[in-house]
Amino acid sequence: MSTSSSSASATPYSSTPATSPAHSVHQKELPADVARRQCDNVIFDIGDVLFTWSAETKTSISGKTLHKILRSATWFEYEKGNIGEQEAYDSVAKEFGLESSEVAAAFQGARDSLAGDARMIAMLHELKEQPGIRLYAMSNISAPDWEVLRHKGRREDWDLFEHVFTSAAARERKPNLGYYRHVLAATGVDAERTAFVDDKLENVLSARSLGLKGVVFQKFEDVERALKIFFRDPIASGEQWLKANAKRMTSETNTGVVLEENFAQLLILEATGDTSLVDYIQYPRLTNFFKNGGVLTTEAFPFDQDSTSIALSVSPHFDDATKHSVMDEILTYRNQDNIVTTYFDRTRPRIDPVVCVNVLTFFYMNGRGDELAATLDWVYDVLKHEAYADGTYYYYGPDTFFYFLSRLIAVSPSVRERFGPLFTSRITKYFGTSGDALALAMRVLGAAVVGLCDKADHERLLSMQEVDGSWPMGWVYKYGASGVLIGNTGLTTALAVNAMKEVEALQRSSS
Amino acid sequence: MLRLALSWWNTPAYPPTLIFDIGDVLFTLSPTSIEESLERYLRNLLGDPVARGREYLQRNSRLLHSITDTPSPIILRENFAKLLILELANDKGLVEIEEHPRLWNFFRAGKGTLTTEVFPYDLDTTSIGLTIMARDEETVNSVMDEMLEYVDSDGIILTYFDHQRPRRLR
Repeated sequence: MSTSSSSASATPYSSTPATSPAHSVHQKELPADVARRQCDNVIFDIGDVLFTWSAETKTSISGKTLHKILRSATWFEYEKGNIGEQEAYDSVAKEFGLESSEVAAAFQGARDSLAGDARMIAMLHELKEQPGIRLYAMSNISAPDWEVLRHKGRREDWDLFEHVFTSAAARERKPNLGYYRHVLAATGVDAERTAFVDDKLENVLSARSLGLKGVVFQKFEDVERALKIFFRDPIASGEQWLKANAKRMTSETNTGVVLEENFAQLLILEATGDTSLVDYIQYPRLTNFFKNGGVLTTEAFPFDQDSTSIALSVSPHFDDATKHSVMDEILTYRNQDNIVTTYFDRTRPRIDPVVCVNVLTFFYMNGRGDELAATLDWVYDVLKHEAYADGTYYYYGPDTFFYFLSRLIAVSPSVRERFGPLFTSRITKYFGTSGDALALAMRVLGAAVVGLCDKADHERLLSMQEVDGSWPMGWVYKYGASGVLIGNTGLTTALAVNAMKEVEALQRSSS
Repeated sequence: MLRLALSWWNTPAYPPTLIFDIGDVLFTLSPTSIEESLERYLRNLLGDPVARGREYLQRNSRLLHSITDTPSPIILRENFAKLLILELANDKGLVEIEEHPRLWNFFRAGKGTLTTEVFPYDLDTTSIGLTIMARDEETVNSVMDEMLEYVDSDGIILTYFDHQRPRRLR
C-alpha cells in the first residue's frame, strides 16, 4: 500500500490529482473527443444492423424456413463465393424439399424488403464528422446480393465507408478468423483501437478474440451508447455536461421529489473546484442541509454537524476563528459514549458513522482530530466489523462510508497509518460487486486514496456513461425515519469524472 | 450450546434485526436486505454449507435435471450436466448416466428439445464424456482421430460431428 498516493498530495480533500493538467486548457488545444477516445475505427455489419429486411415473403416459404436456409452449409458456401446463385437455390431447394423457383422468389422478396436503418446511418454520419475516424463495413453476403444491396443504399451512405468487405470477395465468412485477419491486414487498423458491431454473438466473439472491441447489436440505443463510449473522451464529455447543467444540479428522491439542498452542492464544489457550477447558501457559521427549510420532514429542520462540517471543509468563505468556534460547539454535542451526534438539537441525539467521519475530517483538517478520540475509535470498529454493510441510518450503501472515510484518510497521516491497511482489505472485498454509478465512483475514488486501482469498477463505470455525457443518478443519503432515498445526477457525474481521472493518474504512475 | 433469538423486531427504518448470544458473546445481526428471509439468513449463518449441499444432492439424486429459461420452463433430458455432476460429486448414485461407448450426444437418446429432433453427436459432450468416464485408450485415440477431421478453414475445432453444422457455437 502506498502512503503517498497522488490524491493525498497538494489538495488533500479534492479528488483531482495534482499531476493532472489544467483541464480547460487541455480542452481548447484538442477537439474534445480525440484526447482520450479508445477507438479510431469501426467495422460495421450490414445485414440486420445497417439494413433490415423481412423474412416474411409472399411465397410458400415461411420466415422460419428462410432463416434455416441462411444457416445451412450450402448457403455459407454461396456467401463465400464458392457456388453461384442458381446452384445455391437449386441445392437448398433439394435439401429443404422446395421448388428452386420458389426459393428464388423468396429471396427476391427478401431483397425487395431491404431498407436502411435511418437512425443508424445518421449516427454513422455523425461519427464520421470526428477527425481521424475510419469506417469499414464487413458483411457475410453473396456477390449477387451485394450487387442488389449496393444499389439500394444511397451513394453518400456507402461513401461513409473506406471499404466494404464482402464474404464473397474474401472467400471467407464470419465467424471464421481468416475473414477478420484479411480485413485487419487490408485496412492496416490497430485491432485494439477498432470497434466491431454485429448482431451475432459468435461473430463478435471472434472479433474480440483478435483484440477488436466488440459490440453485440440488439437495439439502436445500446449501439449508440457503446460507440459514444469508444469514440469520445469520458472526462471531457462529463465536464461539458457539468458546465451545461451549472447551478441546476438539484437532488431528487426515489419518490420523484426535487430537493433544494446544500450538501450535494458542496460535494460537487469539492469534486470540481469550480464555484460557477454550484448554488448553495453561504451561512455565516452553521449550515443547514436544506436550502429553504425541510422537505418531506419537519419544516423547521435543525442545523446539523454533517452539513456544517462539509461546508467548513469545502467552502472558502469561513475564517479560522469561525471554524474553531464551531468545533468548540460541536464538542458539546456528544452522547453518553462521547460520540458526536448529528444535529445541533439536543432532542435529536442521533449518531451515524458517516456523519462522525465527516466531522472528524473537519477536525483533522484543522489540527484538532485528537479531541474526538472516542468517535474515531468507533469509526474504526465500524470498519473492522463491517457495520456499514447495509449502509447507515442516513447514508445509502457501503460505498458512501468508504468514500467519506477515504476523505478522512487523505487529510490525516495518523488516520492513514492506523486505518490504511484495514481500509484496503475492506474496500477490496467490494471490487466488482454491484452498485449504482455513484457507488462505483465512490468505490474507485476511495480505493485510489490508498493507492489501489479498482479496474473492474472503473470499467463498469465507463460503460455506464450516458449519451449526453452524464452518469445515471446514484443514491447518496436517505431520510432516517422513512428510508426515502436521495440522489443527485450532478454529484454522480462529478465523482465519476474524478474517478476517471484518478484511474488515469494511477495507471500513469504505475507505467 | 447456542442460545438463539432472544428478541427480534422490525421497524420501518431498520431491516429485521436479531440479537442472540453464543456463550457470553452478544451478536446483533441483520439480513443484508429486508427481502431476504430471516430463515435463510440464519441457516446460512449457522449451518454447515458443505453438509447441507451434499444433503440436497442426496435428497434429489436422479432428479437433478436441467431446465430452460423459457416462460414456462422445460425440463431437458441431457447428458452434459449429469457428467459434470458426476465429476464434481464423484458419486454414481446421484445421476443416471446414459452410456455412450464412443461419441456422446448432448441430448438423451439423441433427441433434441427446442432444436432439430435428430441432434448430432458433438465434440463438446464427447470430450467431457471421455474425460469423465473411463474408456480404453484405443477408443479415446480413435475419437481424437475423428475429431481432427472436424476443423474449419482456420484449423479451429468445430462443435458438431456433422459437416452440415459448421458452427463453433451451439
